[in-house]
This record gives sequence, structure tokens and C-alpha cells, in this order.
Amino acid sequence: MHRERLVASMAALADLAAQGADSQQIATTAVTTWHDIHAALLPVIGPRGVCALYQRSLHQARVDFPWLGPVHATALDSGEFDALRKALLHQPSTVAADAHSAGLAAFYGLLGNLIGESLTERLLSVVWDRTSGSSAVQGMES
Amino acid sequence: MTKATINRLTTNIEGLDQILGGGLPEFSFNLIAGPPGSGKTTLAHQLMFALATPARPALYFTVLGEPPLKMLRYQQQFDFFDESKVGKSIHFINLGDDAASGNLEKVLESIAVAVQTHGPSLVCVDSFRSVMLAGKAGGSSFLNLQQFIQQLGILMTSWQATSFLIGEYFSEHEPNPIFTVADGLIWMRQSIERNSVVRKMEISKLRGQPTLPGLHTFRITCAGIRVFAPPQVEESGEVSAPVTGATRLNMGVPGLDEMMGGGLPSGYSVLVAGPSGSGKSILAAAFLTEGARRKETGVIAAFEQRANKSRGEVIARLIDSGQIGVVDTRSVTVSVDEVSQLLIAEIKRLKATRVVIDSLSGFELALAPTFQENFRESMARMMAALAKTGATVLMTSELEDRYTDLRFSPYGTAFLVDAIIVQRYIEVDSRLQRMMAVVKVRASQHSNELRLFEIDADGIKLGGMLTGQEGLLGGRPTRRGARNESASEEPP
Repeated sequence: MHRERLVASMAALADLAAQGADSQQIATTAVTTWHDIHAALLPVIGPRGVCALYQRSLHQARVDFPWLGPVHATALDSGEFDALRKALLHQPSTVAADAHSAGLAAFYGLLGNLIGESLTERLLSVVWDRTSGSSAVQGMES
Repeated sequence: MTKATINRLTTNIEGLDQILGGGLPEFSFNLIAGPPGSGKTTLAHQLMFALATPARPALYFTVLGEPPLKMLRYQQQFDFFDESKVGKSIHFINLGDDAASGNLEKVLESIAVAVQTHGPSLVCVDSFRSVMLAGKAGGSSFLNLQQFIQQLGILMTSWQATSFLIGEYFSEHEPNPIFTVADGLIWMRQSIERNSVVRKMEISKLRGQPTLPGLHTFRITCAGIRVFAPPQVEESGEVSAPVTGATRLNMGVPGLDEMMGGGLPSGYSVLVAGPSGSGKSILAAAFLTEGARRKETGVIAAFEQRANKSRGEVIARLIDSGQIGVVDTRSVTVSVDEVSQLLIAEIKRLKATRVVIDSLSGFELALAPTFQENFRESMARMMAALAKTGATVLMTSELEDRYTDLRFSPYGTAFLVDAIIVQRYIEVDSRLQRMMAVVKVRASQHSNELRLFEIDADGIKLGGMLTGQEGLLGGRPTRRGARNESASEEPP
């Protein structure tokens, strides 16, 4: 039940791709989400904590999306998502959306395992507030 | 001119307010010190969850110590961890990188910014020692440690925040500027003796407050920290000290009341001493059952017999029905203060008039080794505290059968009690018989008879005196006159 908003956010991105959004749009949305997550967690678990979780999530996601491998290797700086953006840009938008969702789900799962999903949800709620807001805006544009 | 009033915050941590001397002084700058694993972080969290409100939140700064992810993972296991407060009334803030750089100005600045943003009532820095170490190693800092602590203190005071620095310190003897600057010093330790580990807390300094000196035992359970403060014996101004001896309580053994001069005076403590199997627990059960029959409630702390069953069906039923409360004594490394507190709480809850401690010998065994040395002192404190409740107390005590001397308790606890009943075995006509006597009932007449008794399915049945015999207390009575006859046979 805690994952509702994560799932909604992933679905919104998939819809966006299905409705013909290009990879650029997907990459921008994905990176914005990661920035928001980073901002939400940084004060609580510190830059190293966020970075370690992010790397591990990419490591898990690259099983299905091997092209995320180089991103995982370069994701050393906390709050730096340029490598991810570039990698997503080279993929068809639906694949990019799926890959981002996979990374996001892995991240959520890892954090949930450590501190429980309800606390995870509480810490990340600000992220979903923003993503649902932005996808609504994008929805109106399309 | 009016004096500054120091508000004392109620921490809701059982026993803590008491040893703090009435609560946590508002705006104080405190250090929670102790070795790893002593419960410092847990105490800080429990305080925070108890005191933080959305209007006056708490800030928890994590520095290089325990990784925050782990801390959140483990702390949420406690009942007090109310997730809904996280991000609303409790904010966790990681200072890792600032501290790692060893730049104390930067650390101070980050703390100041967060304090200004949130206007917290409570600030914790965990762990402060790592800030200090980073500061020492960094060398890039213009501030020295002393200045840093002082400036932090000033910042906290001017923002009217009650603050806790949490640090791994091992001894109060290491010279440390923070010990001087802090308003309060809370030491948490784990004392190890033989196989037992006991957690102890000491308020070694708290400005402007009459703290309870000494080491106080505490436990950490799922509910968090619980401190066992010594039972309060004297509370000035309290006039409701119960009158003892106003009425007499029936012991539940026919004939025993008459031996005691009309029953046990209420509020008295009685010690039933005797060798193993002499019927002490049965007498204790009769005492409680009699109370229940008279619609009185009782409390039992049993250290000897395990399950309810072995206490007899009647007692087990009374426990089930709630007429008799049980103090759970199964945990090892128990302290007398802890048992006192549990007993008194249970007495108050049930408004109990009868209390049984069965037995002192088992009680002493259940104690952690570190408390055994002070058993008598703690017992004296406990007896005084129990007396204040007005309840009548029956304690049993194992007594080694020694026929060369007459002793009532191996602990010298006999002087602590108001009445003593002694049970012994004697050999009569190649049979082991039981005998009971009332040795003492303070300020009351009592019988001086040595009475035989038997135990059957209904309990204790007092019999008559063994007339014509003497030397009963030696365990091997002789018929009166027999000795004289043999004496007369001896040559002059």
C-alpha cells in the first residue's frame, strides 16, 4: 500500500512515453525525480548514503538494461545525474521510461528494506508531490 | 526583581525525571556520555519523540558516528518511534561532510542555519566526539574546540533550545572542556561483573537541580529506556504516612492469629524463616488467600517457584482473576530498586493490602552480582518504601537447619521486619515433625509456644505443644527429666 505513489509516478512516466513524448522529455523528468529524491534524502542520510543507494539501484536495474552499466560506473558524485541523462537520451522513450522506473523501484526497495517502507514513503512524499504536479502540467501541454 | 524560572520538561521516560530531580531543565546544554552500546542514541531519540512538537520541533544532527540509515533502521524498532513525527516535528540532519573536512566553523554554520530555519526546542548532536576528533585532525579550523563548544552553547541558549551532545566518552576523568561547559552530564554505562551486565545511568552534573546521586539501573526494552530510581523513602511534607497496627490481619492459618496476639498488625512486615520444605510458601499462600477471602487484593513477587501452578490452584485462580498481582521476576540481573519499583507500582494499581516476597533467598540469587554486595542496604530501602504504602508484607527466608544456633535469616534482615515466625524440623520418635513459633511481633504481645504443625491438602494445621520435651530448638528433643536421670547416674 506504501508503493501506490511510486507506482503512480512510474505509470505516469510510462503514459508519457506511450503518448509519444521523446527521450529528451523522459530523461528530463527522470533526472528531475532523482534530483528531488536527492534533495529529500540528503539532509537525512547524507550525500554518501544517497550516492551509495543510487549506485546500488543502477546496479540492480542494469540486469534488465545493460546499457545502464556505464552510468553505474560513473555515478560517483552525489547529486550528479548527467551520465544517466545521456544514457536515457540514447534510448527509445518507452525503453528509457522503463529503465528509469526499474532504477526508481530498486532504489525504493533498497531504502524500504533498510528503514521500512512507511518511513521511506514519509521521507519521499515530497518527491511524489512534485512529480505528480509536474506530470499534470506536462499532461496539459500534450 | 523576579528570579528566572527554570521550566522542567517532563520526559515521560519512567524514572528519568525522578533521577534528574524533577525533569529536564529547559534550555540546558547537556552531554550524554558513555561507551558504545550504552544506550545514548536511544535515550536521545526517546527524549526527542517525547518532547518535540510541530511548533517546537527537534533537530537531530548526525555526524560521522552511526550511519543515519542504520540509526533510522534500528531506532524505529522502539515503540516510541512515531514515524508520523519524522519530517514534521523531528528533523534529521546529516553533517557528515562538514565534519569530515574538520572545519568547525562550517559545522557551526550548518547547525546555525538549521536552527534558524526550524526554531527547534530540542537539538541533538550525535556523535559529538566525532566532531571533536575531526576538529583535532583537520587543523584547517580557526576555531579551537573550546571555542567551538562555547559558541555552540551560546547559539543553543540564545535560540532557547534544550540541547544534547552525544559522545563516546569512557571516563569522566579524561580532561575535556565539554565537561566544564555542559550544564548537565548524563553518564550511561554497562557494568560487567562475572557473567552479568547491568546498565547504569548517572546524572553526574545538572546545574540548578537536586538530582538523585548514585548509579541508577536502567533497562532498554521495546518500549525504550526505563530507569529504576531508588524508591523514595522520605518525601517532605507528606503527612499521609499510613498508621500501622491500627487493625490486625488474619494470617489464614487457624490458631496462628492467636499466637501472634490477635493477628498480624496491618502495615507490619513479617519474616517467615525456615528450612527448605518446611511450609513457608504454603503459609505465604494462606496469607494471600485469606486476604482474597476478605476481598482484599494482594501482590506476589515469587523468586522460587516457577509457574502459577506450583503455587497452588487457589493462588493461580486468584492471579487469573486479577485479585492478586504478580511482579515478574523472571529476568536475571535484576536489582532491588527495580523490584521495589515494580512492587510499589503493582500495590498502587491494585490498592493491595497484602504483599508476599517468596523468598529472600531466591531474590538474592536473582540479583545481578553487582547488587548482591549491597543487598542489606537496598533491602532496608525497599522495606521502608513498602512500609510507606501501608501494605502488610510477608517475606519468606530459607534458613539452613542449624541446630547449634538460632538464626532467622542469613542476611541479617531480621532487624528490618516487625514480626518473625520461625519454622523448624524436629525429630520425635523417629519421625520428622514440623514446628512453628512466633519469635517477635513488635509492640505486641504474642505467644511463646513452640507448636507442632502438619501440612495437608487444606494447608497448615497447627497442633499442640510438645509438652514434656525440651531441647526442641536443637532439633533432637529429649523427654524432660531424662537428662536429669542420666546426670544423676554420673558419678559425683
